[in-house]
Amino acid sequence: MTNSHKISKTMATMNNIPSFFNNDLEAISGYAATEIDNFILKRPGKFYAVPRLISMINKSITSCGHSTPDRFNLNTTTALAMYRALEDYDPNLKSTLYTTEQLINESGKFTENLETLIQHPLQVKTEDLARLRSLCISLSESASACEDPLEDIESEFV
Amino acid sequence: MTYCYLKYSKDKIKLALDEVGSLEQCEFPYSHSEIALKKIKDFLESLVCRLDDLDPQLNTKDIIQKECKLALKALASYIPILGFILRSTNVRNAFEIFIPLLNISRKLLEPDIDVNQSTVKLILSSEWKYSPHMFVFHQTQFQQPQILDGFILIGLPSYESSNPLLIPLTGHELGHAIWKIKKLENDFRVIISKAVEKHIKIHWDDFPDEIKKIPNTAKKTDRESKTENLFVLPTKERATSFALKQTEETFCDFIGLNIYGTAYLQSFAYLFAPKLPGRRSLKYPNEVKRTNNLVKAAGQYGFEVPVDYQSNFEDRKDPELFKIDQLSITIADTVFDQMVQIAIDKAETILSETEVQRPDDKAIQEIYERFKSAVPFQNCNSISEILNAAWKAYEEPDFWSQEPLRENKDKILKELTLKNIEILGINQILQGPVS
Repeated sequence: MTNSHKISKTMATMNNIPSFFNNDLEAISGYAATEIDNFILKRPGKFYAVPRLISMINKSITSCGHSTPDRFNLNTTTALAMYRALEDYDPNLKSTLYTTEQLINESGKFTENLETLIQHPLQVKTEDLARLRSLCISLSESASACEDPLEDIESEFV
Repeated sequence: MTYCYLKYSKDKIKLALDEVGSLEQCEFPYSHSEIALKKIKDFLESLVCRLDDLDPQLNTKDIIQKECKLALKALASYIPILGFILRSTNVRNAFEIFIPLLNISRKLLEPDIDVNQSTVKLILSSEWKYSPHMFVFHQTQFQQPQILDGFILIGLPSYESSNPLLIPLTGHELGHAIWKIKKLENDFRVIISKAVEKHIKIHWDDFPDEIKKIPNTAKKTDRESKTENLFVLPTKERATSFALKQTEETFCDFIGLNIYGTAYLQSFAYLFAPKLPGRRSLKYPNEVKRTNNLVKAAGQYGFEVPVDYQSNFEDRKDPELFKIDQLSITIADTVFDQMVQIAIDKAETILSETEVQRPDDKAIQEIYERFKSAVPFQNCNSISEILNAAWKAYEEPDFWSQEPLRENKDKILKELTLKNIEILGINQILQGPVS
């Protein structure tokens, strides 16, 4: 790894991500995948989407404690996208993932790994980077599948 | 490796940019359309830069595919808005209503900021659609790119462009902007999630076995769990999303009602009664329920409801659904019913915290009397009062007895109303420059 690939913590802030993608899970996870890909390729760049993705998942899923009043903060749409992404990414999970608690735990592992990438990028193995990239792509695809079709983006009065 | 879609994506965005260049040559009646155009141009240029940054020899195929998909999603989202901006220049638009509508929008959306300092921008267009609509950038669950934050885009039906009586329906569209700015979805999501969980337990016996059954390898507590079961998550998500959407639309009705009072009910009936074609949209309560909710809210807000109002509406048929989808909708509809009173109160509270005044009966009567003489009222304070007076006159068969007023009543009344709105707009401009 060269110096150009060290990620400055102060620079890796969500404020730097173009504001128009702030709440778009499909875009944020897709762009996070690109950032990881560029990191693997040793192309100079900073992590903007990755911290934003961590924040989105934490807010929507992992901070919503299982069987506590916080669980009602669970964003079911984000949770469903994550559930489908995990199933697509690792078919073995299909037969073992069946409770919200497990989903929260798996999502937590994902964000922890992303956090490690930001905090200690040089400690993350290349094969783990590739796995993170794949899961980001899966999440982006499953988020897209949860969205309304393009034809419906106009809000009709009726 | 060559990816044809990478080149195609860039070419499409560049063509869109060329089109933006042509649109920039248009003569815009207000600067807000031009500002929006500039933002879209910058955004599209940044998309091209992102695609130019990709290296087909180095980046993986799925990364290049994803970047192209996201670029096209953004492009597809904003192409209709370019058309909307173009039509905002059309002389068919009722430009008289721009300033009064901007004034209301600013008071509602930035209540703590002086109207003339507000950053809220309005683009008004005449659209070839049956009903008014607006572009909402938070429409999908995960949102479209937010490049036009602070902009309200309202399209009015072009075939009704000479009819100001439909203007109260723009109150509903402003409700969507309030819903977004106040982040009301977050508040309602928690309440709705609780209610959905409760109803899943109630309907548990109706769920198919394959959904209820957690494998025996799972912990006993997990197997016995209902709402924690991930196989139920799609049903929970569907029920929550539909209940949220119905709540948002109903809240928007209550905002429109709060701003325009009885005139909102009248314009609503003008557009919807007896019912629209096709099956019911699950994002809205059915017509009769929607109307009943409006009448209930009107009672709380103290607005007069037209005689036999509800009897003018008829429900549309529900769509045919699979059992599990039907279950989601049943839960969504039941949970939504519990949100109505909360939405009525929320809309009332939000309006009370702004300078938007509810229409005053005395002021409406003054305007109505002036309309009797076929002249506008110079000193009116709100577009809402003008429109309530106009509706009152419109509903009065013998409003004018003398010719030619009597014979051309509707046409003259609508022109008179637009003229009065124009005077209101001039008065508002005289109170301070509009940025």
